[in-house]
Amino acid sequence: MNRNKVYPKYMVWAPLIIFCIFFVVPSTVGYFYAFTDWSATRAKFSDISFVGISNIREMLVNRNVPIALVNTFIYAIAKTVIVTVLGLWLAYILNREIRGKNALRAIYFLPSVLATLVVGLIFSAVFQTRGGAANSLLELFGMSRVQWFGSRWTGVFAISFAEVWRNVGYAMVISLAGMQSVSADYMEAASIDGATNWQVYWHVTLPLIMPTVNVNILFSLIYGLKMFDLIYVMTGGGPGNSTESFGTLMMNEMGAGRYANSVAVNLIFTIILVIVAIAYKKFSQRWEHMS
Amino acid sequence: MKKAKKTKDMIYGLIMWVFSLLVLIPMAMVIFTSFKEKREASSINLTLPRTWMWSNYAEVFEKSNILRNFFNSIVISVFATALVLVTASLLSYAIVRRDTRGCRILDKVLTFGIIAPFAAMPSMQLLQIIGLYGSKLGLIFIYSALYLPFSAMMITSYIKGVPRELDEAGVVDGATGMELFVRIIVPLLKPIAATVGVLVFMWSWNELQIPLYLLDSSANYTMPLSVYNFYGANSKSWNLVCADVILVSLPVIVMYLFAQKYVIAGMTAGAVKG
Repeated sequence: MNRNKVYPKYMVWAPLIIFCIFFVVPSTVGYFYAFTDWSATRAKFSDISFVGISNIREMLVNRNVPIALVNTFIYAIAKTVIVTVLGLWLAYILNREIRGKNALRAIYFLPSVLATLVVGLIFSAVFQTRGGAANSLLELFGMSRVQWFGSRWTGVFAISFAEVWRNVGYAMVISLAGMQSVSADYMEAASIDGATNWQVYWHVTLPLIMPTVNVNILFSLIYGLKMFDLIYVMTGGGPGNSTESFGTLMMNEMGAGRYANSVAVNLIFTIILVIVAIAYKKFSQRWEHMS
Repeated sequence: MKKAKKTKDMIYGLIMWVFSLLVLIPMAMVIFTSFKEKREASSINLTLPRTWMWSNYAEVFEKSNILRNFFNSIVISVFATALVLVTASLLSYAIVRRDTRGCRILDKVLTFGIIAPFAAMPSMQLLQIIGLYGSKLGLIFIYSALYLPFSAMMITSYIKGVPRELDEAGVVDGATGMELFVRIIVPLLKPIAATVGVLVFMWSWNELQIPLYLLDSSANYTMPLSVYNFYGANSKSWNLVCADVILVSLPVIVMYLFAQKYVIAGMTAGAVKG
């Protein structure tokens, strides 16, 4: 078969043109703006001049970048760990013969279909200082109110809580799908050998669904690092810049008119994400090899 | 032995139902709050409204132009999804079947596309230069470029499972190029197209960050953007904000309830590797 005749090159062109113009160009050439003095007062292309790496240097010593860096990783790692563990646990239980398990699965998955913004609003209400459900609960146990969005760590906690709430059902469904693809024969063989349910799960099921779990951890990490909506809605990165992630820092730098700085943060962010993805892939390959 | 398992399952079931309250209670609070009077709604709790204020919903309708934003969201999500499906399946098909060095490099570039964050300001500047800034069309193109890599990855792995013999049979019948693709391959892609379609639709429907950068006039606002602005303007009136939240979520929840199987399959496909 003649490859060029049966699968002509032009089939690639239309998709590629859209992809290049609207993704590749801004994500590569577009970062040229990080090396200019682009700002709200110099918005026109003709006003912009090249300033070298001074923006990048400035952003690296700017105290907001380290804060955003630490927060971004806290959000991503806390979410990934908690969601993965809870998801596996829920899937383990809901894979048993439980009354109403389909209804339960549907309920747990429900938050995943809501817009992140909506989840953010729900938890802004839950964690508000006066009359929020979280504080009512604390008062019920005789504790005093907490100003959740008033300091860094309580803010980070509230945001992470909302993120976990939104994602647990998703992780559960994926683990369930993984478990159901494991042949029942393995488990039967193991239980004939006298293994308890939990042992079967730990030594047979879990290693078999590890590839699925691995892909998910990677996606969860990447999407966690890119977190924006929840933070933007719940704290806007505040108080000060203490709950900022890279996503909100970019937005706030733009809002302050420091366009070039926003692009510089964007560039640093891209580099970090690529490093994380490569590192995780290397790590998980070696790990799968070992076990 | 069997009986012990049964009691255990019952206990587990009970725990699961108690746990599900953690999901249901925040939602119930939003529903109740949306019917409360403003003062009563200042504390968010599980009490039923003293009087059921249906007028909250009328007020939200009046204040927030919800129908226009709904229409904008529909147009943007539908066209972005359609464009992604067409471009991603063409690209995946060509990559899998041609299998040249260029195609393998392209595959790597697509992986970068999944990992890289949205290049916010550069994209905004690009749309300004080509005159699409603030338009629905600009957003549609950006979405389709951003969601193309993930969609292509999923469709690629699906096409790898479609036997080449089918193409050959098509060639014998005299079909090549686009004709072969449309007549033989496209009908086979329906299941994966449904799952990818649901996913891309939900992503575009729920996206907040990108429209924040790329839309400037309220005439083109999408649902999430309008809710965000509504919240900014009415953050003291939780009853109205909650009503708005419910109106926005209703379409997605209805879709979820009726097409649960496809929604779950769509949202989790690609993440499940056997």
